[in-house]
Amino acid sequence: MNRRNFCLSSLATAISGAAVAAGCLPTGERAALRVHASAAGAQLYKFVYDRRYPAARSFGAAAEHAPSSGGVVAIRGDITELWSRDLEPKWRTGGGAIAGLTSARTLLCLEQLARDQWMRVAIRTEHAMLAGQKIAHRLTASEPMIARMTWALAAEDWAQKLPAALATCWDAVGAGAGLAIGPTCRLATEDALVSFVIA
Amino acid sequence: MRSPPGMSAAEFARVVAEFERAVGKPWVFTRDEDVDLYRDAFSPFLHEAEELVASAAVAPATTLEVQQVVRIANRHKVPLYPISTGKNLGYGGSAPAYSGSVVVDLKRMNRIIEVNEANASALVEPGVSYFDLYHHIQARKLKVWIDCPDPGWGSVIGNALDRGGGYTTANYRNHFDSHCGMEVVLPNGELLRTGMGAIPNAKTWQQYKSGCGPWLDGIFSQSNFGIVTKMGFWLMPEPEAYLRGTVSLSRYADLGPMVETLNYLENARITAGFPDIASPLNAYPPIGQLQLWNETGPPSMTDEHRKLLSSAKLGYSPELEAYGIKAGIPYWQLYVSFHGPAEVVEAQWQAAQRHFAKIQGAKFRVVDRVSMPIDPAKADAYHEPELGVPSLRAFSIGARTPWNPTPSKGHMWFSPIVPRTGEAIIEANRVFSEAARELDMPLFRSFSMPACFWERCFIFILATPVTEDPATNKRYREGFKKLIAIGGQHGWGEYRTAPVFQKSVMDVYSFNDHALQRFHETLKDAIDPNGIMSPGRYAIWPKGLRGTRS
Repeated sequence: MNRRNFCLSSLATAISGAAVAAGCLPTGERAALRVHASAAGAQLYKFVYDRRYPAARSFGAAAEHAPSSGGVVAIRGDITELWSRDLEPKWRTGGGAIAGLTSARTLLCLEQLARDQWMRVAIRTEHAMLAGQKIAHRLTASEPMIARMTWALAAEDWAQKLPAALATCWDAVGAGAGLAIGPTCRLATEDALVSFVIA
Repeated sequence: MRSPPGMSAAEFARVVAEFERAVGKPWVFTRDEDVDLYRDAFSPFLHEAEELVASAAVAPATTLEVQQVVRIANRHKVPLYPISTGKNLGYGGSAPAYSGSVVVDLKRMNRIIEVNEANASALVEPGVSYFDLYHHIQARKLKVWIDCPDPGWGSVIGNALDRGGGYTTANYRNHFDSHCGMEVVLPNGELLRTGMGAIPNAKTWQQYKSGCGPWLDGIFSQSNFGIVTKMGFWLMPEPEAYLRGTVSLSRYADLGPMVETLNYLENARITAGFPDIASPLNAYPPIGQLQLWNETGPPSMTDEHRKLLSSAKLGYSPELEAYGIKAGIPYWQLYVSFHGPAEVVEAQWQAAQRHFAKIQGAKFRVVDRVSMPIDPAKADAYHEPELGVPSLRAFSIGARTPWNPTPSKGHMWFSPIVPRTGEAIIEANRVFSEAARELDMPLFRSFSMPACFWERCFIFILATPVTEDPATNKRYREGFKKLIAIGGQHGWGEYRTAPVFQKSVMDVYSFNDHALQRFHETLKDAIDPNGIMSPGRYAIWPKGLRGTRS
């Protein structure tokens, strides 16, 4: 097993159990999660959000109740401290899957740094601002993950629902598919943001 | 599994098996999702079939493994493309110059072999990033500084070999010039050390650069003649103090004398810190404040100022100049900085003011007066790289803000070197802004300022956007090539470029019927007869591909 495989398997065994405990998913989703809940292991390491954006702040507040071993961290565009003091040492030793809601440039930076450990963006949703206070979501993930995230993205308070949905990403590995949702939701951010799981 | 050009899947599978025996199975990557990690995030071929992509990747951990990989590639004539960390976005990233090459990913070779405080030098492997070296030094409380680019996420060796630049003092900002000694795996797998390192048990490898006989180091930068596996660098002794001040000038015609004075002061080492030229009247920020301007916007501007600015030509109109004088907004603002003992930097600042005071109306202000060492937690109050502190803050540039409503998907850096004169700044603005307008490329602001990474020349670093639209990207690529040629017609050349533009750039270096390029090819044929090492990098193609690629 190389570092990347270790990272993915840790993620897979961990998040599911805690996500069930959170009790925040539709019944069908909970049933699916229980299949995986018996496996023990590390948890999703950290949630990251950019506090400059209202939607991201909602995401961050909801993430406090979602399962992660390293907690929730707020940034303000710059990830120098987060990466050099926290993620880099964690990733270097294996593991440390993260989920977040940030600007696309922040994700680009994290994505490039994750490549150093052969980690990658396993789930990516672009939340695009449209006219008329609407927002559209463009999701790229594995088919099972798309099915589980659709309900969250279709909600008006999508940013609050995202952490729990992202925390179910144990089978996010594999070929990505795309899905466009919306424009159906009320705008909850003044900016185009992107949510993600890096694993 | 993808295969290199002209190689069957079965044959390549045998090569992969040999790579796996050499470096270990986990460190050979052939699945699409792994190989895709080596795509150029800023590829100007976004969503197009012509995107330059690798067939596989192999990540050796030692010099011996690099030698084995190279020998395997030679036996099977498999093209390799070594990268250190592949972070040079805007200049090609980790994607090969020749599609189908196998990336040799050196990031596992991340040993800091030595930091010698007394000699102010380091010896590192290619996987060592600026952050790695910085943290190594900080953890040991060593009294030396690194010089890093912005962002500082890349490889110390990789950036030097790409001839990148930084932000501290003139002796160290040119990263290739500040190296001292290399270890190189040649295309035949043989190991070479340059400079004093060619002496077995050398005692001065990181002390004297050139050794004896021809000095080879330059041919391993921006080239495809070998894989550098170790490299020495000179580091800057930590200064006791840092002082940064501004020189503000009110007239358009002051630009030439300002540059002349700066050149004298820098060449005489009265000032050695990164000179940063802004034009407040033209709303052009110093490099050190780009992030701030992007996040919070430029200083507020009156309607009159905005109107005058929009009608100015080449950043000038008599009315704009008069407005600036009336409103107290400098036409030019030069940031000069000094590193050393407090009494020395104060004396240097005094001397600099005396020289700049010869320009009528020059005004002076101290911006930063800092005692070292600085608390790393407080470094973000400054432009960190100017204090030798690596940062990722550059990624706030390009974020969507009210002042940047449509951030691009990436960019291609257009970066011509021009003479260090005021006239050249204006002439380059005239030439490139006219060309960009004709080519409908969003390249230049109304007036752009160059950067001073290197002594004795200016460099313009201008971002051409990469968009989601292939047709637009195609138009920008073609326009980019025309800009390169136009620069060449004026005697200006790029210092560095992405693989897709390397032929266009090298075509500009055409003195005596492309004698330089022909010499590169002569070297290539002699050093790498099978053409396995980074084919096409900087337009140096092996014989077998030369005709079809030129």
